[in-house]
Amino acid sequence: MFACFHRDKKGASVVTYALVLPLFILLVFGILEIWKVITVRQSLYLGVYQAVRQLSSEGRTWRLGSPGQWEQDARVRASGIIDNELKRNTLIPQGYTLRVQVVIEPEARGSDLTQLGWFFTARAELMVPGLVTLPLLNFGTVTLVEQQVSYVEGLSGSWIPPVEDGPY
Amino acid sequence: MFERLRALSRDQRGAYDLIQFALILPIFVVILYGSFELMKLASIRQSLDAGTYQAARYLSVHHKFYYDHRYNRESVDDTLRAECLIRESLLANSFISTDTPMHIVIRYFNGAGQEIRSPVNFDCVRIKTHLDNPDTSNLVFTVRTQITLPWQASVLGLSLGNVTLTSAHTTFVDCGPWYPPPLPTPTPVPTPTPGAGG
Repeated sequence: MFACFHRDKKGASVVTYALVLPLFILLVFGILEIWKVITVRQSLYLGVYQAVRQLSSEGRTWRLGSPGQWEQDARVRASGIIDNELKRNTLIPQGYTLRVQVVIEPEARGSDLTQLGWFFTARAELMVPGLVTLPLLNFGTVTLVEQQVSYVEGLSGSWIPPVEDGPY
Repeated sequence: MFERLRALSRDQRGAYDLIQFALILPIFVVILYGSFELMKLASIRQSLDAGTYQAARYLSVHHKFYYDHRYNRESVDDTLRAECLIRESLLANSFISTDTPMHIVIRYFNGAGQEIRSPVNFDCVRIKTHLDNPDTSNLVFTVRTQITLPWQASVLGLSLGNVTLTSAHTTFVDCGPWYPPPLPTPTPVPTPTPGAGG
């Protein structure tokens, strides 16, 4: 019974199989890891979008004097929104670092934020240690960056309720 | 010893594997680097989509009534600013640098699909008559963006000609929950705080 195996030259394909198997496993699990990175990237994109959307529609209501103060407040709010969105993704391991930066147009600086429609940029830098885990390969900390541009929406002045014969 | 080496040199069995490997390798390299290039392309496309969306949203609010002298906006070209928003969104992408020679074409269409100059000249004073009309297609506009940029592959710096990406976003003219809009508040005079400065 075993003698026939010993003589069998067709077993060479087993050797090829054994050589290819780790590569195949690496490919399959590598695809899974890439998919994980893509979902984290998508979560980050969505979080930054939601933050930008809120800063855009509500940014006018914060009468905070200087653009620097506006940027500070915007940064805190944006961090909260992005962090909330990232927590919804269960694939992100604990212990990540999120750095958010909000910068308003240079023309808006030096004056009070009375005129609206100013552009701003929200930039989020997410550092996730141990996001990609593959045997024998150490990827360390994966850093993802998302940056979006928007504007402070609305009119100057405070919101007034709809008028009686108005269209809305 | 030499007999063995001669036998090895006469051995043709490995040649098939080598040829097979040589045939597969370019395909493998193309798949590997091609997927990276596709990722880059998808990223730029997403930035273009985001920029088009932001520009359409900007234009849906900023119209003609803002050009009234009371709103202090005569000097602002909102079409230009919306286009700037698209450019800034693209530059926010790490795959595009400021010296990338990109060619951006931005076109505007109305609800009927005809090309218009720009939606900023929408007549907001007659918004009520527009809304009373069951056909609200005249409130709709589309921003179409097309970007052409030279594509350079990351491996070996291969030049792959130009690549063109398009994006569009359809939205409607939004006059806000108020009409007429409130006037801007005057710029407050900064009061010097006691003890601050020198």
